[in-house]
Amino acid sequence: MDLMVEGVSIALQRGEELAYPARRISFTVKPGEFLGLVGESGSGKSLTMLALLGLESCSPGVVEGRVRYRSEQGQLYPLEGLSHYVRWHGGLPRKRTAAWQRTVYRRMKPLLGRRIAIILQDAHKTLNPFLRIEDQLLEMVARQGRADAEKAGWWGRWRQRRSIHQQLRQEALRLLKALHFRDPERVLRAYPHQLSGGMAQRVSLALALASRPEFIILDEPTTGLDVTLQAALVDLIRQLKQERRLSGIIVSHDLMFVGKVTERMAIMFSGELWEIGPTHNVIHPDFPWKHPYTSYLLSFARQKRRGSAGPAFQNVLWQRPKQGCPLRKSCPVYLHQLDMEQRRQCDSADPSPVPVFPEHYIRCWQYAWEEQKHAAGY
Amino acid sequence: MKRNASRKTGLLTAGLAVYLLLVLWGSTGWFPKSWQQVPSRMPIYQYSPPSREHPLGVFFQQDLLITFVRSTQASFVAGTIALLPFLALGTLLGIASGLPAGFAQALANRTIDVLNAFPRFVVLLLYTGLFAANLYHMLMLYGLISAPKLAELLRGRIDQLRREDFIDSCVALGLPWWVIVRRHILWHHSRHLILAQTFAMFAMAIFMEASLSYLNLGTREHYQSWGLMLNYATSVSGLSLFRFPLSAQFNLPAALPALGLLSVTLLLVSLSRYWEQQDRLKMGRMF
Amino acid sequence: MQPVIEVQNLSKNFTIRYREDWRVYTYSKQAVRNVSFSVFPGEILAIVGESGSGKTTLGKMMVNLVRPSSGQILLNGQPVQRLSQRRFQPLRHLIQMVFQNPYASLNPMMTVREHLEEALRLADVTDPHAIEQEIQQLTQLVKLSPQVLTEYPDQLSGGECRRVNLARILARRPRILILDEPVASLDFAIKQIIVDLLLELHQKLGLTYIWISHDLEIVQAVAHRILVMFDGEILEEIPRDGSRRDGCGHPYTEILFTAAHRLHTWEQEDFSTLGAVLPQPTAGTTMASRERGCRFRSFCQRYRTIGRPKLCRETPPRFKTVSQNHLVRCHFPWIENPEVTPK
Repeated sequence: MDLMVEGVSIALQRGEELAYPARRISFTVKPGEFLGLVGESGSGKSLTMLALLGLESCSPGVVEGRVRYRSEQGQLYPLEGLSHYVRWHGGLPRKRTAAWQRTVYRRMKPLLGRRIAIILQDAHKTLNPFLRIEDQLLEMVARQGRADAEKAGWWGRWRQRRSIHQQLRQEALRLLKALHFRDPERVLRAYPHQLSGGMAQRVSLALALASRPEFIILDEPTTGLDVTLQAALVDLIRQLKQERRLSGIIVSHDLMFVGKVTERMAIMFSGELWEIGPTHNVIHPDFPWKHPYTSYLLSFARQKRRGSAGPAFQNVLWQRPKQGCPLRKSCPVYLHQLDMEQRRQCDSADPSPVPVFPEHYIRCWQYAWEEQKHAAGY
Repeated sequence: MKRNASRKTGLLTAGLAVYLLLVLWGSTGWFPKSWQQVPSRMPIYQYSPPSREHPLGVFFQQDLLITFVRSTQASFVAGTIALLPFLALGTLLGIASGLPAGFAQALANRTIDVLNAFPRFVVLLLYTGLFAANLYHMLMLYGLISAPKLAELLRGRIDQLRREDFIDSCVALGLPWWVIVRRHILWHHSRHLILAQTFAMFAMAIFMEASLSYLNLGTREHYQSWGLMLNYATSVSGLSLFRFPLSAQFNLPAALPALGLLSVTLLLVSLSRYWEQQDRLKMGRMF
Repeated sequence: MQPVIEVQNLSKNFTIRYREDWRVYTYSKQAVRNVSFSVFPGEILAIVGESGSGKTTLGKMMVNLVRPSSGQILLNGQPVQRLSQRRFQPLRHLIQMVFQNPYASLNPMMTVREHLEEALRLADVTDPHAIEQEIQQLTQLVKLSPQVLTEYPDQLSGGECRRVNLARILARRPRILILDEPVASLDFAIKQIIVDLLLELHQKLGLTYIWISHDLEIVQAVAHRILVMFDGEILEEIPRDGSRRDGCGHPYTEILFTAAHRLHTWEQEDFSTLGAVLPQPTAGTTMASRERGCRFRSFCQRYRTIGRPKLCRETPPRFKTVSQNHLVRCHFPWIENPEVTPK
């Protein structure tokens, strides 16, 4: 397992209300595999990713769960949670969660930018406005060849500075060409404000790939990109997976884009995971078992022309019902297909994940009943 | 949150009201007869403790409450007189130097450079030396020559905001440029800067006034100031005002004029904190 | 019919200076090259292209935010390209622009109500009662809930923010709207809703749209005419329903279509074949060296398959009318059999 996320919850406070933009999120990413985290905006997917890396300092922050990142050398970075603390004190200890956040950051820091690369949503903000792209990119390119450079010593490095610079520059140019830049030389000389949104997005991708990471996290990679560049990105990620056995997470609202490049897909809405399974199963229109929310998403993605796709699901981040399935108020299956007995079941308890296929879990009562019938020998 | 804010504004208005009352009192110059009558046989540098006639006591043959009220007014006048030209010229220069490159921008930038190049105190000394001017004129001049401080900060802010799309969208909407500058740039995005500079300037103006009057520069009449008192105190018998061990006899008279200044500064600080909190609420994310 | 906007031979050069080793270099980048088109009242004209193809600059030139280097823009027959901001002011209630980034185009320190009031005062609505009424009408028009009025831009969701921008601009009662990427980076569900809203407004208020986008899928569904832009040039003009029915098209449009189509299906498409078609520079070529001949040819699959003809290398292509209202700027516009030279 490359990344194991076990029962992570993130809390937010607004006045006296508490909300969980991530509630008991668990998933694993296997080596050489990409996981897609799909959901609407406001479903907490970006926040989850940032918090897992200790980058988001929301208050009170991560309150329970653990994250393990296991590199190929077999090192473990366990990050213990505070669930026992919450359980005992019935509240969120602010000081302790801040300390936890710091711990996460301290443990993740040696990995970030070396083994784990992250590409944030707003590309223009990730680039330093006062440095040329060249200065920023060469710094990252230089990072991966550190070991050789260390051996050469400072005198050796000084003597070979020209050739080292040239090598790094060539490497950077190669990288930019792979990202379909028309004129990489000009891009290297430019300052960030001279780049358009799509170009900045690709430059930040180049920055992330420059240090040759083994795990990559892409947060909304398609926002500023044109369709042609999106297609190119699909091609690029597939190539990287083949060549470097790169694994990673793609956080996006674009179901179809994520479906092109990932092996497994998780559907997130209002801070909870509803379905996680092989991508092919999740987005295949003929696959019989689907969470109602997934089919709602698919109905948008599949129809090309305009037209309404039924009433929208309501985000219940702040108005989560105390009991029962939180989505039932706007779930078309609950509203139109179920009988009274089944609805009572939906009202009474939160559904737990049900396996419908190897490694494919759905959190919906419909499949729990099928499971029970199956166990009873029907 | 709302309750908290209203309490803060209440305190703020109360403080401002008290302060303005003191200033008005000082400018009318009306005081009870009993305060104005001072026993004449008293040694000049002796502090006489509070009594029924003189609520804060007498020092330098003057009632201390009168000194306090007058000095409050004096510090206010000094601060305001320096402040108005400072704000006007500073804003003007700031806006001009934030314009796109051209004649006005270059002119504003060079003006800022030139004003920055000369030490302010020396300029003031030169001015008095040449024209033997009124203290108020000198304070106005001081306000003018410290305008680059504000202008530079505004220039930075405008440079930063010009990249933002919302300025573009305001232009496209058809807002006239002065509305964009006044409302979108100055009021909504630079008011902290201006306020912070305002009270820095206020304090500096009072300090400058004290220094100038200590040096007996500039002409004035009927005027109470810290610097003047210090001047008296050192000239009368070589006694110093702050003396160890601290005794009320000498320290209270010196501290009173400073109290006026302190109260203004505190008021402005609380105003800036209130604005800061408001803006944090606005800029705060959904959560 | 009289066109509302007529653009004739419009060009824009940006001069960029940069310093390297104490020497200052200057190069000029042509963002828009010799573009001509006209917009008719009540039309939805789409301009499609990649980022950096100059479509946003084109839009900004039409609302006088960027001054063109050469060429003419006629608004209702009146040339406007040399007008100062003040002279352009009375035309601003005719033409308005919705910017690409909805959050950045609102002042983060002002509430939605303040934004709307400001725009209404510009439209000479000064009476507070009238302003209140107008605000209500506007919010109903763009389907905003009234609670949003007291909120600040950062508290809004993406869809709401777009609506606020629209309402603010509609307060000036424009006849022509330039929509710069109106639905980019929105969620799928909200994308549909905003597109529906825009079309409804188009019907209700009789607006004219210039719809700038990179997504051919959406644009095809809504636009009456599509202009395809590449590197500052218009390569193709596609009429509403005749798109590619005549078997003609520019190879660049082909790429856009294929990419959009493949991205919007659930099947695991093979993108490596597309990758060969995608704009990818061959070694050592830059755009600057393509002054002679067809500027697109280094990215052109068709050029390679038909054996790099001399025509493409020597002569810059002109617009060819391949069927009614369908113009293609290519020497070989036939999709099926490009070897057949056009008559």
